[in-house]
Amino acid sequence: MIRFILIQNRAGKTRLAKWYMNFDDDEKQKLIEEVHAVVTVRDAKHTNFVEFRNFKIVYRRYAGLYFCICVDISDNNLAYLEAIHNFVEVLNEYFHNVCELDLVFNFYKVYSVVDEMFLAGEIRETSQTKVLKQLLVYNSLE
Amino acid sequence: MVYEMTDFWGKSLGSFQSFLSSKTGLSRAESVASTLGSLSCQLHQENFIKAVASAESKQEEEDLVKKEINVVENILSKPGISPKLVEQCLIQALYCEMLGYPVTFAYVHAVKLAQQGNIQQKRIGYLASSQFLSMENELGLLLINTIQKDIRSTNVANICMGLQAVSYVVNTEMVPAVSFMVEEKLKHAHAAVRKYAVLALQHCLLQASNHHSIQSALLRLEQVLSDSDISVVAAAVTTLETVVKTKNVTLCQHLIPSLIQIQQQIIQGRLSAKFEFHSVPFPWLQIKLLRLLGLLCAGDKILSGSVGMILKETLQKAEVNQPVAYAIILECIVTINAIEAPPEMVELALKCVSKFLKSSSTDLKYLGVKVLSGVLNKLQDSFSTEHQDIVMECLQHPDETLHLKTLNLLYVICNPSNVHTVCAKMIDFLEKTHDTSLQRNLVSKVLQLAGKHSSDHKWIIVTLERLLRTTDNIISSESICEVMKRLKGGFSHKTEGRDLMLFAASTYWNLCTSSALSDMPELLIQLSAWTLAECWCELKDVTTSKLQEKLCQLLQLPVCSDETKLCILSSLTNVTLKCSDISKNVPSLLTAFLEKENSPLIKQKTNELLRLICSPDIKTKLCKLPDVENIDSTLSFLDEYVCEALQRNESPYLPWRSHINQHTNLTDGVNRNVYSVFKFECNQSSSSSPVDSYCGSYSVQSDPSFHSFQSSQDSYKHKTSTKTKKVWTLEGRKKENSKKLPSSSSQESFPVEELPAENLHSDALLISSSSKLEEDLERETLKQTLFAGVSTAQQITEVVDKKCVVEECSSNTSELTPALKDLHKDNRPEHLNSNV
Repeated sequence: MIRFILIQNRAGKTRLAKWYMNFDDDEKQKLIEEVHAVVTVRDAKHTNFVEFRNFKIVYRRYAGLYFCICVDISDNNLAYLEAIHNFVEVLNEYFHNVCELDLVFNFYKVYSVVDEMFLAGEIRETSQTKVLKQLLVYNSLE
Repeated sequence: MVYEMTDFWGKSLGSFQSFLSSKTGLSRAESVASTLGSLSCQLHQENFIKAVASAESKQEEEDLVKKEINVVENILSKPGISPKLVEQCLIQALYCEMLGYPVTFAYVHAVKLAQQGNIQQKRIGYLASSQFLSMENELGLLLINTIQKDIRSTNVANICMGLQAVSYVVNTEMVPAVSFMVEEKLKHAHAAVRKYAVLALQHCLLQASNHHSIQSALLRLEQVLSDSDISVVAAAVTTLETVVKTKNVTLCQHLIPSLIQIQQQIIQGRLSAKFEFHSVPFPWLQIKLLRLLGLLCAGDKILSGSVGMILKETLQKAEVNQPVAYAIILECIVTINAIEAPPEMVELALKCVSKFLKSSSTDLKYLGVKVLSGVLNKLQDSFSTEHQDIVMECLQHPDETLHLKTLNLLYVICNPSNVHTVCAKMIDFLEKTHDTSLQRNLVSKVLQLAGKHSSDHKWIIVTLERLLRTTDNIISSESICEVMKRLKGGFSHKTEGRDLMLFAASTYWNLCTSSALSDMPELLIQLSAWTLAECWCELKDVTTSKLQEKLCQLLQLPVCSDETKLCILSSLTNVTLKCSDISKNVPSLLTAFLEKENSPLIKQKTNELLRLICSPDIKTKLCKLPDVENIDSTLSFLDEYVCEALQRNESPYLPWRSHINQHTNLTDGVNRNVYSVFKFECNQSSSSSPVDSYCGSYSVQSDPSFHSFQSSQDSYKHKTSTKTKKVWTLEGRKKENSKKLPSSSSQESFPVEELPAENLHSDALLISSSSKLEEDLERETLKQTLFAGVSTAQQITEVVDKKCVVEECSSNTSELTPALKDLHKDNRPEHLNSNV
């Protein structure tokens, strides 16, 4: 089960934070800082999985952004790693060669992408065509 | 620039508001306001985001955000604003909340917007609510009504949004309000609605405490498994997995055949192309299915046999050189580990694991190491030289997590021949890491391994010194007690005892006379003091007076806590008792020490010691005391006194156990006043004599071990009734008293623990995962005995002598059956090129 999804840049600024578990505000802030501290010191030689408190973080770095998913210890690391990749591919399609600024200025749209693909702590939809179709519908509403 | 925009926005808003409030041309004003408002808002948003992003300090960012929050709050607090404006404000508020600045005033508006407004605003309202509200927030209750309305509406988008919101806001109390509606939607015509309904149902099931509702929901879910749309099926599988994990496994075991069928359909490529991810058909569903099958078949041989076929097929199909395929392979291995797989399946898993270990990707290596210990447990074997090489490589990898996983693996396969190396490696890691929980973990592991596998006392001494220097505050004094016990056992050994004593004494003497005395960790001081007191006589050049003076010096060290001081005093007493000559400086040193001390216990002990030193006749008397081996734990010498007291109708002592037994019989709650309870029972009992009522009310267990009492009973038979005697075997009191009796050796100042049975099952350490590590830590206390070492840690240099380790490990491969050996030789896994 996913505990939270976090997109941060190298400097530690949050680009997206989606929580699937109850935390207080200050706990959330602390978690964000801790994740940043743990993930940014690792380079390409390190594994993409880190044990974090009593969970683990599966992360991947794309250009200047770290996409982190915090999951339970018993979960399949590679499955979530690929889920991140799937998500990034969808973002790429949706924003047409996505860059960090796209995520910054359209943050609520990114939230809808997240909600399409992940729900209630589980992977919801993995088919890229289906997700993009739904997102285009949302676009037409605006 | 931003502030100007904010002001402009504020001003324009103000003018619009006044415009709106005028009664003429209301609708035209509204439309103007909304379009203008949206344009300026868009621009304003962008500027705000840009400003925050380019803020140079945290303070600047904070100022900007707080100002923005104020503006938003002002706007929202005005009555009668349009939903469009609320939408814009909420987006701003969302952004601020995401950055970490709470916007509690906006929560209500989010809920309201989800209720009213068109579809886009509803969406934003729901989005904002899902971000802002948690399950404990009372505002969720306000949203429930909206959710219910939306789920019941005919508009598909509304239903979907309502169902989505269920998983964010619904807590245990609210479940009954929505669960029925959610279950209804499981049969909706639209696939997306069904999918959302399943996931909403999952959330409800997790929150629900009622067992019956789970049963009925499961029935519905089973029907969903045969849905025509595969994504709905996927959602159902996910839900089932969660339910099975958290609730009962047996509920769903009948579903195994249908699950196998679904998996077959997937790998045979019957799904449409849009479900493929890099040419692997629906990998996530495959993984979920495998996980679910693993959960359902765990521990059951027959069921496990039924999934063997599908696992093989899945592994075959997953031979594609794609990262996702590795995910599937990993899941297969994990499943094989979880179920009672036949040996050929385990071999297959081992083959896959070797591939992982050989790959150049760190991720795959890490995962390989992680599951390797599980697979090896299944094989009940150690591993081949190739694996050993790989494992050694992993140990030297720069990635710490990989390093740790390898150490866990080594822990699992540790045995008497490689325990020294393993422990040395662990201590190396220990010295480098700063994470306290990790250190604690590793320390307990080292101590366990040492206690279990090694009998080399010298090595124990050396390693313990190394450990104590690194992690003084983690090791408890109980484990030091264990060491002392172990060493004492070693000292009394017929042939090697003296040698060990000499070694121990010289090591600790060197430590104590070294210049870095103030750096010595406390426990090391304790250990040194005790050991020196035991075996200083072996050291030829250390006279008693020298030792005593040294001990007094140790006493003065500032790092010593009360416990350490007591230990040193005990050692001093020990030394004084054993030998006759006492250094002249000792009494004066002790007196000086006494004056500085505040603790009464230490003062008492010091006084005793001084008395002992100053009056030799007490000493001689003490030395002549008989060996107090046979302790009368029943205190039979007090029997007469007790029986007399009982005859005077005084209440006997109630052991705690009988308190508890009594209280479960009483209906008037917990009564802590024992005597009133007793009297209550007394009045209630039908039997005449008060003595009878004693035995009636207390559940007394007869203990055969109190022989001394039984024998002395004879003398009392004519004095008291038998019933009184039965009562008097309240062994609880006797047991407690036996513990309080002083032990024969006065030098042990801390509790001496029993050596626990060494029954560590390696099965208990199956798949190394950090949750298991933490459980192990709590379970295995630091009471296990330590080890004796031959080779010091320094002999194992940084460049690990692979051959040496391999030789040590290969001593286990002799247990490999010949068939397996051949298997390892023949099936040499190829190297993989991974694109990860």
